[in-house]
Amino acid sequence: MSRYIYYFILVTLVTNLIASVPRILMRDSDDGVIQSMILAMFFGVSLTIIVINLFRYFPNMTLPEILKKSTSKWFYFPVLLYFACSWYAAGLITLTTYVLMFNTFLSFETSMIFTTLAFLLIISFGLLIKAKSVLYMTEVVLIMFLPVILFLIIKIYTDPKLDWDFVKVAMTYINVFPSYKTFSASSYIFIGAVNIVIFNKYIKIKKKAGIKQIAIISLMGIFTLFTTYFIPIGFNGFEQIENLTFPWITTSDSVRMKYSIIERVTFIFVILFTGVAFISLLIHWYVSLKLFESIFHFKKLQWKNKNLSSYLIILLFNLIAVFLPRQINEFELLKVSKLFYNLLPIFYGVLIVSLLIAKRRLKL
Amino acid sequence: MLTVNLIVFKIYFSGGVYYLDGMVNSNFPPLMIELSEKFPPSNDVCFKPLQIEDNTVFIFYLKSAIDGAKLHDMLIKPFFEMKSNQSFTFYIESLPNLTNMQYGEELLIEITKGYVLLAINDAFYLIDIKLVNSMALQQTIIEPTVYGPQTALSEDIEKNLNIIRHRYHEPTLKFDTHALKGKSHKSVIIMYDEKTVKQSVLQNIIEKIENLDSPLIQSTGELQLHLNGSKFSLFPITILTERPDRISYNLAAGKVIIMLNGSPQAIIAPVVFFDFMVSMEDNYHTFWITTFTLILRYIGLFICFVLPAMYVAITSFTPDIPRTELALTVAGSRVGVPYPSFIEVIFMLIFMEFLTEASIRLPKAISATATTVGGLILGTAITEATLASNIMIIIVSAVAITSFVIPISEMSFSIRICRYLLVIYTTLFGMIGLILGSLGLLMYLVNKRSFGVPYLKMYWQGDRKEIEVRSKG
Repeated sequence: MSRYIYYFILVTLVTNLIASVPRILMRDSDDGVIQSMILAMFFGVSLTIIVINLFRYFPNMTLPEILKKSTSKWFYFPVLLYFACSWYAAGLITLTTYVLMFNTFLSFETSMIFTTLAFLLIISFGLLIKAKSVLYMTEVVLIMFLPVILFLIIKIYTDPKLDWDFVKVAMTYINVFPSYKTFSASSYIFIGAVNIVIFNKYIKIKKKAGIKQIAIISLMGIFTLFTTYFIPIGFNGFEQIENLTFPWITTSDSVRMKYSIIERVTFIFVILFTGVAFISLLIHWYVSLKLFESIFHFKKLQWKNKNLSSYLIILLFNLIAVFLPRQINEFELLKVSKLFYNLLPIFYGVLIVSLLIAKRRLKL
Repeated sequence: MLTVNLIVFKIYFSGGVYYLDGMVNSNFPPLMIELSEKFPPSNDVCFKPLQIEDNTVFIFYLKSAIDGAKLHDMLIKPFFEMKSNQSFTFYIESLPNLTNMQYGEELLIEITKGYVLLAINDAFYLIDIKLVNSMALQQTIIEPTVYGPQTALSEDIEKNLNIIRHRYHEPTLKFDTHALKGKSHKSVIIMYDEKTVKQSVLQNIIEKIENLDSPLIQSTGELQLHLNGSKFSLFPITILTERPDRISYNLAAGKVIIMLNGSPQAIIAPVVFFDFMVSMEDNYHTFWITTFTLILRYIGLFICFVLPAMYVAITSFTPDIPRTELALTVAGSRVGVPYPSFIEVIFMLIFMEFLTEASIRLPKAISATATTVGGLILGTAITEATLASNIMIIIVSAVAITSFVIPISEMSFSIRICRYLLVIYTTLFGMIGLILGSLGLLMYLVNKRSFGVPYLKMYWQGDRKEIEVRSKG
């Protein structure tokens, strides 16, 4: 398995570690979160492996290319449109969550629009770069940021204020039957690998994903799910945890680095995670843009040998991203995120079914 | 005894009429007559027959381009000592400086480069006896090292080729000569090790050089700009070097070297970002010293790029990020500064740029005064007048020092410019501008290609298939 797929999975894991997934889990902390997480792990990992292995049948092809080759327009158009919108929505949710978080904890005097614009200006440039560059960028940023993030997480784990008794209390709810909300939210953190719908063209998958890959992804998943759910409980207690808007920021703010130039861990924490979230946003919107491009290509928008369709799509991306988050507050954002996560099985279903149809049609 | 009977003809051309000095010989080779017509009347055009008894040969050259003594020793003297034209022909054919005969426009160019055209009976020979006065090896000035070779390249391409041959003993080392189209008609030599070079990159470079269409290219620096492709590019995609050891090191790594006649620097292509952070000194030290200096350089790069913008972000947007004592110190030192931090930063940075620029351009004797006046007096006076905080002065000096840590100065120039972009982006958006602006620059670098090779990506050691063109060097 190419290392870039691991990067995709890692980026999604890290981005959702402190965003809305822990909040959804904590709001239902007495409603079978642990069982949901265990189920979600099996569900997420197995679907990841299935998707990767299915794409092995179509080397160097993107999903639009596969579907256009094997199915007719009435089938591939709605499917690709659905995927494009989903990816855009995924990016938009990440963007809004992080903008809200950044404005609440770091620069509370800046307006939402300005923080969003700071993202959008750079992202718009990022959407125009080559697909291989997106892969390289992901790698460079992860290599730079992950060690520091790991260090901070170790710092949080080893903090004396972390009370393992609270964690034990939370553990006692292991016998409660799982709920769908928490199940879909915790499955969402495994979604990273599906980005190969576009990047499959640039990634070489040599071997079939097997036991080793399953083990690696599962270990990463277990660690992330455990950290994202139990550590804030260990710091903040089990009883009132559901009232925290961003439980992870509060948690990281409990940790101090006494002798460092930046004393409060939370600032480094937010800054680093914003960097990774930017990469997540870049990947999601890049995939979305490519999917939109594959179904909307306006021949009339030609200017000096350049087709302006993609510029138009990027402009639309930006306009929606500027105006939509203004209408929304934290509570509504959480509701939208939940709704989005709940659609996850449909998403996987459509993806796998369309790949299977393509496989049969192309007689692979 | 030989009876010497030398007649010199000089042909002057004016207004379509030939005036011949001395005797008119009807046996002049037509090619030479044609050539002399093509050259405008100039005192250094020489066209003369050499005659002894029945043997006559003709030579044609530009006096200013050739080595007179060499011409005498190599051609004129042997001619008069030979018995017959035939033995002289054999002698000429055995000369090492004999080159392939050219015709038409190219012949003219060769003659301006210092070749002598020789006609024996009906055969023509082109012999290289050029005189180059800039053959002396230069000291390494741009990339000095403590250890390692202390001499750089010379301005003569032949000599440079000789230097490289003697540093890189591989039979697969290959020199390709191309001529630039423009007025300078300079010869460009593309040098590579056929065993290690990446063919696609090589083709890309050759194509670019052959398609160059610029009237006058004088130095490799200029050539490099034309190879760059896009007009508004911020980062160099080739390295200019004067060090022969860097050249042979890069040849071994499979890169292509481009040399231009008359220019003491060579172009290395393709390059990756990490190449700009390597000094040749690294090869002459032990592992830990090298690692330490390398880390030092990357820290320098980071500080030089981020520090001014970070000052803006922290003082004007989020003063709560650093620990309280530090935040208070910064705020305390800014007491009395009459304008927002970004004006302070840009103002001080620009003054520092003036200082750097002035000390580069001035003669060495004066530049010391400039630095003293600028650095010490201005620095003290500015803080006493509270036009800038003390901490700002420290930051500016730190930034100035660290930008000189980057070994290849072109990269340090590029980073200097990027710094301002980051300051502007941070001024607009605050802390998030700082993070995203840096990521944006990173993305720009990642998306850049140097002759098809990714400019910045993780090159894993040992992953040969992916590397192809090795980094480092």
